[in-house]
Amino acid sequence: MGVKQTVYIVDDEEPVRNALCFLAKSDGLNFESFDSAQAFLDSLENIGPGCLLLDVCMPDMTGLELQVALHERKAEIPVIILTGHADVATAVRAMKGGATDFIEKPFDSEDLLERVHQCLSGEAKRRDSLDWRKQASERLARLTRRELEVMEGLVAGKRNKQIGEELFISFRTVELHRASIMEKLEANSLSDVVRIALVAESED
Amino acid sequence: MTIEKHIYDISSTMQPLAAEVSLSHSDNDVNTGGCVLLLNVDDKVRNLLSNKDLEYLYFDEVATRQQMFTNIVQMQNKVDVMVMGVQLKEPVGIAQRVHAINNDVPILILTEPERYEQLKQALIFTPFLSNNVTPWSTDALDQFADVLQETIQRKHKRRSYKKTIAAAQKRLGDVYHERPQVKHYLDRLLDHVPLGILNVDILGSVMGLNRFASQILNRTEREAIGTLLTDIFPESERDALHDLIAQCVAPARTRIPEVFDISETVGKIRHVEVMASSLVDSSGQLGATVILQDVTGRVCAEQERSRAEDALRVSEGLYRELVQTMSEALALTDEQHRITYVNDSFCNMFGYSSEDVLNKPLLGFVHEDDKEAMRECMSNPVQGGGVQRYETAWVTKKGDKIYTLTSPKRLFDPEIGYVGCLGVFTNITERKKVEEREKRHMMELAHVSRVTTLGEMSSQIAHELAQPLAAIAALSTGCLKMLKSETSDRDEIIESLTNISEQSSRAREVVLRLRNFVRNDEIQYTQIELNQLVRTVVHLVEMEARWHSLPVKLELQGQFPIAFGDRILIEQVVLNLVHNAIEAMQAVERQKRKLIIRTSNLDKRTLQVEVIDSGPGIDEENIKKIFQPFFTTKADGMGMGLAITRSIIDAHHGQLTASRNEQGGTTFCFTLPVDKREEASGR
Repeated sequence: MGVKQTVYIVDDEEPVRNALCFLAKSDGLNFESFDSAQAFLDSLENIGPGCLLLDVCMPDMTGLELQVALHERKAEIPVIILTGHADVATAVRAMKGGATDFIEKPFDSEDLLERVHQCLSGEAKRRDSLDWRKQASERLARLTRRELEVMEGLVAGKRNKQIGEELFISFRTVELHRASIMEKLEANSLSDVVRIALVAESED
Repeated sequence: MTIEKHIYDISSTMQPLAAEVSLSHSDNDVNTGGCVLLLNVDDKVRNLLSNKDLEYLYFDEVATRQQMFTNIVQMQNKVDVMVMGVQLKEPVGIAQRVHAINNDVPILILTEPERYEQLKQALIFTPFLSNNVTPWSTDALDQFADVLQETIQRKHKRRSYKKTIAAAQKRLGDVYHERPQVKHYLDRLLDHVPLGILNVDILGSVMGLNRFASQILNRTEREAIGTLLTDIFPESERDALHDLIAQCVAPARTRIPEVFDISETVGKIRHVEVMASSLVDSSGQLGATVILQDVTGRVCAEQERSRAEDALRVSEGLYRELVQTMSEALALTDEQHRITYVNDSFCNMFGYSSEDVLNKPLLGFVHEDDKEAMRECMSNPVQGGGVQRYETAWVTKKGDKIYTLTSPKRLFDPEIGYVGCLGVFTNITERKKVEEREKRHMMELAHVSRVTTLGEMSSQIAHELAQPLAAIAALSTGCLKMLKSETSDRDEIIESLTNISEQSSRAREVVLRLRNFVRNDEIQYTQIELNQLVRTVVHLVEMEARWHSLPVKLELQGQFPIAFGDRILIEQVVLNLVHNAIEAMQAVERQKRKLIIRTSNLDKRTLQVEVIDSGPGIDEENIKKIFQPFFTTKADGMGMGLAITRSIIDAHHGQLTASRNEQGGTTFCFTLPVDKREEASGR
């Protein structure tokens, strides 16, 4: 995990906000706090990787409304909803709005931290996978049309002979293409090739 | 026994000493013998006189006037009475001549009834006759014997007095007669004395009287002299007067004046005080001096007073009866508030006998709850009009608690000042019980309503509690982690622990507020700072308001007087109204939601709280019904909230009203009285 992530805390009540900040700090987490949903929205440009601890019950703009606003702006940040009164309707709205987690106040602090860590690691993975796919696509782009056809055959698990027959090329030529693909995709084995191909496809 | 002998015997028994002479008739006088000279009497009289009762008398009948005169001269004083018959011509003339010879002889003249008055008149106007010529009508012959006897007795007595007087005069010399100027002078002096003074002779006949006496007795001097004093007095008084005069003769006797009513005989209302003293001169007992004092004014005043007293006694008795039997209890206390009187109803009401309570302090019967108030009331005796009424709790002999409506009337004496108190007590225990039952009922309903309201607000309340708890949880975990790690920052930990403590008190406050609010206490009237109460309630609903994104604006008047009421109930009223307002405003757009709570002075004695919302408002039809029980516009409402709210305000002697705002929405407004102590202090 290369980049250090940040916990963004949005709560209008100062005591709670400060307490959450202190908790994050004590756990060695990076944190940043906002006293309203609007304040967070205003500084959206500066928001880096991390997660959002969001209180639902706030005047002017509630946590749920902020969720909608973030969607509209295509800001992708995992959201943990904090709420003082957990009625089913609020929970459903929060989860439908794409919340990663839903925590009731008063919470168990260890539990809260654990969920924050889970959320952060999930996000890290997501970000990682996001990177891997990008690379795969780039590598795939290096391949020629004939090489791509050969690769499809490899990924489908066909033998070199069979691929040559289908493409009306010699067994030898298939082997040459195959070596070239390995080189271009920076793959050490056939399984690497398959993985890259699948990741790249999964983009759609 | 011869007449002479008999007469002699009587004479010899007469004592010449004044002290032994009595004017009263004594029993041994009744059968005194005597000599009766009869002139021209007819058979009828003769037969009468031969009566067995008179056989001790000697009758000497003479046929002619000449013989009679001879007898008179010869017998001298031995003739005790002379009786003239009906047939005798010119009896008055004869009597005159008899008395010319000897005026000591009493004469009885018999006459026909029709001539009686004429004869009497003639006798009155005839000179040289002494007062012992008596006419007697023949129609009263049956009493004649008695008259005859009486006359004889009187004659005897007079003779003995004369002897006594003569003897005394002989001894003392005729001092009185030698100084006529003195007597004249004295008479004139007496005429100017404002006392009636008269002298009576030994027989009780008036001998002389001064002017005042004649005025009192309403008799001219001429009318009075010679008549018996007792005759002037009414029949009923004669014996007493007789006794009085008789007593004065006895020297050892203390003389006590007596009052006589002589109205009957003098022709107008007159009371005289009579005092008698014996009149003695050198010749011995002359009679008595009688002093008369007109006490008509005094007696009449006394009678008047006594009548008034009687009337007063009757009226007092009437009032006592009234007070004693009235259905209200009544007690009188002295200036130390000790009981001096109680009526029957008081005893019945309290179960004590009047002996139990008399002289005990009234305060001792007051119930513990009201002692302080009663003491205060007693120590501030307010003068002037206007009856104040107090509700007071008492303890009966059985130990029961009773309530009365007490109307004390303070009693002031213009000189001494406060002298005590009159209290009238009406038993209102039954009414009070009903009231208390109703109040308890209301309290229970109010409690249910509070719990219901809180139930509706439970999620907000949970949130209210969740906040500090969340903060505490986060902070405490943070501290632990800090302490466990090597990077622990002491200052930061201290700050966090401080915050933990703050947050726990915040949670505690919420809990306390809730607990107070749902407590089902007795109603407790205290002083209430209304502004503070409003703020407390706003704290309770803050979450809810924030949840519904509506701003609560407080317009609280500064320098606000203290109200009087039950804190929890008034909190409930405000909460109900605010809660309703918040609910009502959910129906309007968020931007238009606005809640104002305003406190103000309606007047010196009344405080007002308004809860103004910007909700959809209530239509005219419903605004009249909203305070009725079970009326609701909410889908899940019970319809009790406003009904209870109104009954709470009613119980506080306030008013709860609802009205539509001009700009839409509803204003609920309630009033409360200013605390009386506050009012009195004039703040």
